[in-house]
Amino acid sequence: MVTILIRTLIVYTALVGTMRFMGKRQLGELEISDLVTTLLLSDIATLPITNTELPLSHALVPILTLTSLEVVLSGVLLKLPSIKRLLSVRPAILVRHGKPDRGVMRSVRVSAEELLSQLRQKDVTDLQEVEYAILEPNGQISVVKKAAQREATAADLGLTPDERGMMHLLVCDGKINRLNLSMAGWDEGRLFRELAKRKLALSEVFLLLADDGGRVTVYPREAV
Amino acid sequence: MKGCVIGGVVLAVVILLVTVNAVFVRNTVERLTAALDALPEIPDPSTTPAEITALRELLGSLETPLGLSVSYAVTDKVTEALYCLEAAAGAEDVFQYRETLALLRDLVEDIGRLERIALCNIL
Repeated sequence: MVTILIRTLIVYTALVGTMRFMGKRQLGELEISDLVTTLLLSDIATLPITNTELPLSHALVPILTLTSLEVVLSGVLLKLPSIKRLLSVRPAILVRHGKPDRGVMRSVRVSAEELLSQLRQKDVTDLQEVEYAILEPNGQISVVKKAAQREATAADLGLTPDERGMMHLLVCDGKINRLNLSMAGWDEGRLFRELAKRKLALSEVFLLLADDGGRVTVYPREAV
Repeated sequence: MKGCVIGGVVLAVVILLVTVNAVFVRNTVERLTAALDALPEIPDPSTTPAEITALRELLGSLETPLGLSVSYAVTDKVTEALYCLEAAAGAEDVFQYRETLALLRDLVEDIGRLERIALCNIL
């Protein structure tokens, strides 16, 4: 098992190192160390299942080592930003004030076509509309449009609309979601009063949603 | 931060368990090797089979804790070789006895192979 432990550490370090070298474009939604851990765990976990000659510890030791390393590493990186800079990729500004930065794009290996494609997916068709386009550590591109191109907000128009918060799904297919009910600050009494007002039984409700401002939307079963 | 501490504790426990297990396996290998070394070069049919049986029983009693980290295929081979050695000793087949004894030394070495920090193991 000593060998397995050392091998695990070596493979982990090598994978994190190589993924770091490959850069953020390979990552998708995950950070480098998350991805490495996920890749390793998925394979390691299957070993003793498919090969019954292997003791269970040959999978448990690497799994425990990797997961605890991952947790410890993320905690250490929070405390030591200098090490975090070594292991994590930093956001890269691809477009600044409407001008694409060729040097940065080359260093992170994003082509103009890929950049434009990503911008189009964010409803941006003209580079001149972009104040900043940033390649984030998770591989996604964030776009900050120029002020003139941004959609007007209520604040821009000097309006103060009611704060409605978010919609909570309180009833789904005739069943009460008690967690959402308490998160929305509701109780069953209020819910049944709301249903009585609409002359509906609980079993007749497909969806009942309520926002933080008290607005209630009900979709009865037969209407859907 | 609590998660980080728990992660650190789990990592420390894993390293501790691995180290304890490595010490146990190495001690077991040393015991088995010493027992094999204590066997005579030329088997005595009146005493040697009994010594080998005792060795087999010793291995049998250690098989479960060994099984935590050593593949049963490895310990099974040692047990099988001990049966062959016992038969060779009983039949006074010196050639077969010596050959199986040499094989056994190698197989016992295999039990502790993964617990040795050696470049060849790691690579």
